[in-house]
Amino acid sequence: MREYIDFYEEGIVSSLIKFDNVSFSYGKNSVLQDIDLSVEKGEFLAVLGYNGSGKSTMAKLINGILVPSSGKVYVDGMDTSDEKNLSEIRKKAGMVFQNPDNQIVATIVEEDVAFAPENLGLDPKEIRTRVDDAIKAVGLEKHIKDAPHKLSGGQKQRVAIAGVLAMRPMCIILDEPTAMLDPKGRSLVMNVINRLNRENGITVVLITHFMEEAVLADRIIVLANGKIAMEGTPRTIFSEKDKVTSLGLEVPPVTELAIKLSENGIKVSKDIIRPEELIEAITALKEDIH
Amino acid sequence: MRDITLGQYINGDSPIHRLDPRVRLILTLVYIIILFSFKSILQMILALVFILIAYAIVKIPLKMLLKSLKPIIPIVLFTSILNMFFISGDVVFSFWKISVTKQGLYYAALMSLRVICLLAGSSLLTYTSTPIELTGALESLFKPLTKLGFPVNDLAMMMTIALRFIPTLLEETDKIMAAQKSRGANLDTGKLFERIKALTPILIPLFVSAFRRADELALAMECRCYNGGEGRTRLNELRLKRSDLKATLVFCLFCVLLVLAGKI
Ligand SMILES: Nc1ncnc2c1ncn2[C@@H]1O[C@H](COP(=O)(O)OP(=O)(O)O)[C@@H](O)[C@H]1O
Ligand SMILES: [Mg+2]
Repeated sequence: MREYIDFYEEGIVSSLIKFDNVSFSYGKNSVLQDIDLSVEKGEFLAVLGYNGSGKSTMAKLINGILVPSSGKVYVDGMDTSDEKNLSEIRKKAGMVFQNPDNQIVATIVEEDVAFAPENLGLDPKEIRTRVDDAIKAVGLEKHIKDAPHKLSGGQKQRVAIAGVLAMRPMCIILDEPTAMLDPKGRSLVMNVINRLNRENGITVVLITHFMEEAVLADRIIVLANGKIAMEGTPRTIFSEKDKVTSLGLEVPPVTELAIKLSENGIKVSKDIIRPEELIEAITALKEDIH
Repeated sequence: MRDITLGQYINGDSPIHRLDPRVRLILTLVYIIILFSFKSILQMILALVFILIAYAIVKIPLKMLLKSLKPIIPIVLFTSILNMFFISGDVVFSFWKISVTKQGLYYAALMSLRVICLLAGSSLLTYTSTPIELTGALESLFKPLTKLGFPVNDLAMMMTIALRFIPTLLEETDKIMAAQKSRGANLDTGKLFERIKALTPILIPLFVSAFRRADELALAMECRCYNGGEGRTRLNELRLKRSDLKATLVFCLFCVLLVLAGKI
């Protein structure tokens, strides 16, 4: 993964996902205007924005479910508006949706995970390896023969992720994957996503409205009024609390707390974005007092 | 959560459970054909013994079989009695204007045995096969029809999705009913017409949600490279094992025995 990025800097490998001056409208309703965006191999990108800002539309543009009204989207150099590229693109960029119930096809976990490789016409032996690998990657080995409707929401969503992993994609796009989950299911799913990115080098595009999830990303973009309104690392984005709030979002709860603390004269930095950082800062203060 | 079982499948690990579902399906069909093509009581008794042995192997309690036979008892009795009275032949006894003949009694017994075997045989299939196994078996058996343009793969996919979503939709119905009841809907009492009317606020949200689900599912399937059944392979391909051949052989022996019994 590191190597890819070095190559990129030398201009040898192009971006995995590239939006080139993309606009999109549903009939007369213009949703995205002149979007330029590159996502590099191995990157973890979070996409934020208020409801209806066009996040899902953007996700669907990536794997050719929608094609731009103008401009081009490329995945690994392939144009999504070219029908011939579609199956290759969908194999490279897997998509996970919000409602796990509506993306599970089969009545047994392993058969659902096998759905995509079956569609690709792979050999049963190869399918078996991929299914076992994918199920292991999401930690559901114990449930391989279970019926999906008997699993919890978080487990179902991990089945959905495994179903995408079985395509051996370079990139996974997740559209609010944790929106319907309880806190425990949410954190398990986020662990899986994070691990896939850090350990397996899979590029992740995560659409979310949980700021504490966005903090895990390498880079955040914020959509508003059809444009990319903000772009940067989680720290730079959330250090601009006023701007973030004006775009209909919030800063992560820890950042909120850090700001309140510093306003009340406790000397912690205002650009804290992770709980661990705040703990560290407070512990440091305590040691100062002693 | 409500635990919904489809069909009458009994989870188990008997040799019959382990058979290839195609073998189970075909043997059951042949068994039914045999029941209707043989005409002696001895043969029917043999057929009954055979199916009872199968039940013993699967370890399904006889009580369960009897329970599933219960609803057809009136039909069996009715047809037997009709047969008894209306078939002419050697009179055994008669009262008033009706006479019961030897042939009539024989035929009544034959019919009853036949219906009991028929039900026991087909129940054995549903006791030992999940709906999804049967779908797979049908898909595999009808595969040659694909060449004639018959959409076997698509139909099997539709069956699978239906089976997958029935529990989800039932659960949703429960939720909607609870929601409407908590808003004061009265679903359990009233005249028939009122109760049907009371169902409207349940059916409409259910349909809306089912259509939304269908939309999202189609999208998710497309994202996972589904484009019709063509060129699809399967994770668990059905393959005949040695035990399948053995079972078929045992069944053939049974058929030979029946033919011999007919000659006595
Ligand atoms: N299939 C559709 N047809 C017409 N308009 C749509 C469709 N899907 C979304 N929209 C509209 O496009 C806008 C962006 O939607 P979406 O991309 O789903 O936003 P987000 O995911 O950020 O909430 C919304 O105003 C929505 O009403
Ligand atoms: Mg959305």
